[in-house]
Amino acid sequence: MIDYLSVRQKVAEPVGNTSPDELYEEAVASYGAALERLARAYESDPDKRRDLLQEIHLALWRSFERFAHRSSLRTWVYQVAHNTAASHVVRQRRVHAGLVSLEEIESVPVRDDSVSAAERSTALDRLLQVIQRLKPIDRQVILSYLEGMDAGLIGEITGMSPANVAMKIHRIKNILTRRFQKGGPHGG
Amino acid sequence: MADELDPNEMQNLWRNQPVEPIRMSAEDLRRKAQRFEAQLRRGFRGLVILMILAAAGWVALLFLFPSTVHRIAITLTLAAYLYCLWQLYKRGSVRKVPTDPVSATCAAYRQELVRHRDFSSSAWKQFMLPFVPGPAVFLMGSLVPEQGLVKAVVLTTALIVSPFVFGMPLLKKGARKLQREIDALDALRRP
Repeated sequence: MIDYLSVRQKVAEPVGNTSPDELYEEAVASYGAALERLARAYESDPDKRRDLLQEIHLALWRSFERFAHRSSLRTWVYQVAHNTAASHVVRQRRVHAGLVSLEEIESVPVRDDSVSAAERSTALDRLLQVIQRLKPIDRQVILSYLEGMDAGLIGEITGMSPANVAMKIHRIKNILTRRFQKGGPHGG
Repeated sequence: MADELDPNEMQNLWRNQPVEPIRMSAEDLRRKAQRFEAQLRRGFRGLVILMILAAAGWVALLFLFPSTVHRIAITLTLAAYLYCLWQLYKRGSVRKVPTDPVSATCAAYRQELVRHRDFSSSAWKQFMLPFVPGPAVFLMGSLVPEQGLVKAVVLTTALIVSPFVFGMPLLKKGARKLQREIDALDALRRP
């Protein structure tokens, strides 16, 4: 009939020296918190965020059937997580309609009339507001940057050229500086 | 204080935010995958049942409108339902979660956008066009004896064409938007 998910019914076969279940455990132990942060950046609704996070874990667990150690565990985890989250954004078409690129958000002036709302929120909330407005690929770059990755690794995960990644990081720094600078519109 | 952060401090703020990562055992995930599969299957079955009920409604019309023209119209409409069911079956057979090796996000995201664009571009052919001949013949068969040929043609054309007039520009607009996004992604991947 329908070729849905091929659910693993049996105990997973080992890949190299480590079984997929062990790889999953290792990935969650190392990057579980980062996955939670990533889900937070992709979905603002708490219930949907929990669903997305579970979806990411499921995709990750399934992906280790095919993990052949050709990339690092970190790269693999972020690729699977971002791909799942990007699909989530595409499915949420109404939300997707209002997303902007880094270039667009950079050119939008920081509005004075947002001060009162911004003052009530923390810097983290405001950072999330900026991230959640971005298109998935730009969101991935800013998240990877915030997670402390360098341009090379971000390029490896996204498939973007290093020059494009470097340019986007430069833009991200500009945006963050403008929106959080001392004495800026949000800063009062 | 929070408003005086520079980009580097922003990284610390981001990485040190309080989180409660979920813990799911492999067994939990196995169960969840099975539930997800069952959910997809139920959704597909629900859609098929709805289409069968709608088709049954058309079959019932066979008894209310026994003329040859109406029979032809109803047969054409039932054929349209069969075609759409086949299309759904084919689409349902597409794996919901990619099982090919994980690709870089740009490529995976592009693939998803292309899938949506193709659906937007072709939905009218696969899910709207098949329902034109049956209802058109049905309307003509009902309207010609009462309204005359010219009025019947005008009314039938208006009723049949209107969903296309309103629906197709929306679908095309959606496809164009997705294409722009795909082009932007392609530009990012070029060195």
